[in-house]
Amino acid sequence: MKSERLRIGTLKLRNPVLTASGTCGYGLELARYFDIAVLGAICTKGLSLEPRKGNPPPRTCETPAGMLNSIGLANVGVEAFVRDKVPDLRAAGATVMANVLGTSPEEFHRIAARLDGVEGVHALELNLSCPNVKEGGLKIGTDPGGVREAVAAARAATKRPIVAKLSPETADVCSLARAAADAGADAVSVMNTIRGMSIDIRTRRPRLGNILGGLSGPAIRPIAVRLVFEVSRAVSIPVIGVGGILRWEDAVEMMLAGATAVQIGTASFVNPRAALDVLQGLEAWRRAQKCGYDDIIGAVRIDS
Amino acid sequence: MKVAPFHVVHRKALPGGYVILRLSGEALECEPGQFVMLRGDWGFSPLLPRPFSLALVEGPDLTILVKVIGEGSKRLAAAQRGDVVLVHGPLGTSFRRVAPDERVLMVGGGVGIAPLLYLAQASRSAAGGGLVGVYGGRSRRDLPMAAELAAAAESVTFVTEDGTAGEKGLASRAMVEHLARTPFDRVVTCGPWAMMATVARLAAEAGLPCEVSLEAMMACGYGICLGCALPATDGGYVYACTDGPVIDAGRIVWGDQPEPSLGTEAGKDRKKREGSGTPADKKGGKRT
Repeated sequence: MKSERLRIGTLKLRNPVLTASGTCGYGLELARYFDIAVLGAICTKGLSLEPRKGNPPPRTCETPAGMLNSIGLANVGVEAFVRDKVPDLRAAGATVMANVLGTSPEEFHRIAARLDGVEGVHALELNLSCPNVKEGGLKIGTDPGGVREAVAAARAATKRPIVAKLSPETADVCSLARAAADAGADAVSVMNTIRGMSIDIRTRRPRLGNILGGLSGPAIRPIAVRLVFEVSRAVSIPVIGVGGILRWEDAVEMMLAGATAVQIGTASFVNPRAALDVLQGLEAWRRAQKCGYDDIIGAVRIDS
Repeated sequence: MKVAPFHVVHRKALPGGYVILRLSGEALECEPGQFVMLRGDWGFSPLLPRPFSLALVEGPDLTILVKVIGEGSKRLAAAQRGDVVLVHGPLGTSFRRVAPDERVLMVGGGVGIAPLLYLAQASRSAAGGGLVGVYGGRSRRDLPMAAELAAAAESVTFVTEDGTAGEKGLASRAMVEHLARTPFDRVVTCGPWAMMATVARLAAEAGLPCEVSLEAMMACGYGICLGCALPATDGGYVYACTDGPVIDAGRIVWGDQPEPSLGTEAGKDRKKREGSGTPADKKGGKRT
């Protein structure tokens, strides 16, 4: 069944299952487990202008039905990504959404410009919401003005589809989404992690070296579903749902709430084939239901 | 590679909260020092798999030494014969093979004996050199798989802090005595951070290459979460899962322990850190 809605700007998605930034390396790490070309897209680790080494350990701890991380956006930098990773991603036939990590509108512009002409990079996702960096990240991402500036700066540098990844840490995520759409974003992804904290009661120390970290996993899924529901009704551009999806049923739920596509994150830590498993389960369910993806997106029944 | 279901075919509980599990599934090509990520077929809590060094590999059978620390290890240790354990691996780096004429000193602490036991067994069955071992723990019951190690190694010096088994004292002292007695070509070690730091320093002072098997909290085990960072001498970080677990000791900054131990007071001696565990106070760790 043909889908008209599985697209982000000019990029037509072969299916609605993507990986989430920061949970699949540069995509190549997953290629040892399955053919990454079958996914809707691979969303890379956030790319900064210069390499970043990340935060001091410990960087992760498990929490009820989820985990905290304070990785600090360790990444190889955009130059090394283009030089060392993109050729292999092209060879693998992957659809690549490069996640862009700027700390200012100027940086978003420069990184987007660097990626603009690169064959094998099909879309950009702007990280407007990382809780683990002191500068940029949340500061830009929790204010509609900041979101507008960052998206506009990237928009001016590239014709590639742009996805704005939004923070849940604001009273009104819908206004962030509207700001992103107004500034030329082709889609928004909702949502990034939520800041959390865990303390070891024996040592009385935080369990993360960075004290605070981003909470992910099934623990946050109801929040993501709620935000996808709200944001998809506030903007006309597609919403990519991300937050705690482990199984195909969770992807269906996220799409019913209003997501055009979904990203698989923490689940890939548990099982490297999680994104593929979700895709296969989703396809099987859709065929059994004899419906297209367009029939699922936003199709939650609200009895009034 | 994939996550494959294995079945528990043998379980042996030992004093001190240690459990030996033998898991059987499809045969994996493994090298001594590599690890696997394990979780039971128990739904989504605990969520993340836990890293364990391979203690033995015999055909389709993997032997794992579990020390009960937190929820994940507790659930795994409780697995009964016939239960499914999901195995992701083998992962990470391995020890260099032991050449027939090579003299290797292995220094293990507590549950850290697992990868050293595998190395000694593999070397023996491949007609490589015999390994001379030092195996230390806080107490007699913190020397799990001591008999297996004694059978696999050329010789083993057992050391306990309380003198309940072997010599009384610390593994590092026994290591110094060995180095003074006999020439060695290489040191391999796995155990608590403080012990490995001392072993690394003593090996460096003796001019010997030293391979350590690292532990760190990790979510994925295969290089995508970037959680298992440890400070490196090049100013950056190494990742225990992909740069290690077996790595040249000279690449690690052996300063303060980078994270609180998850070991109980009885032993900061787990091979890999256990995600949902309860880190013990730093003071619980003994300088060796």
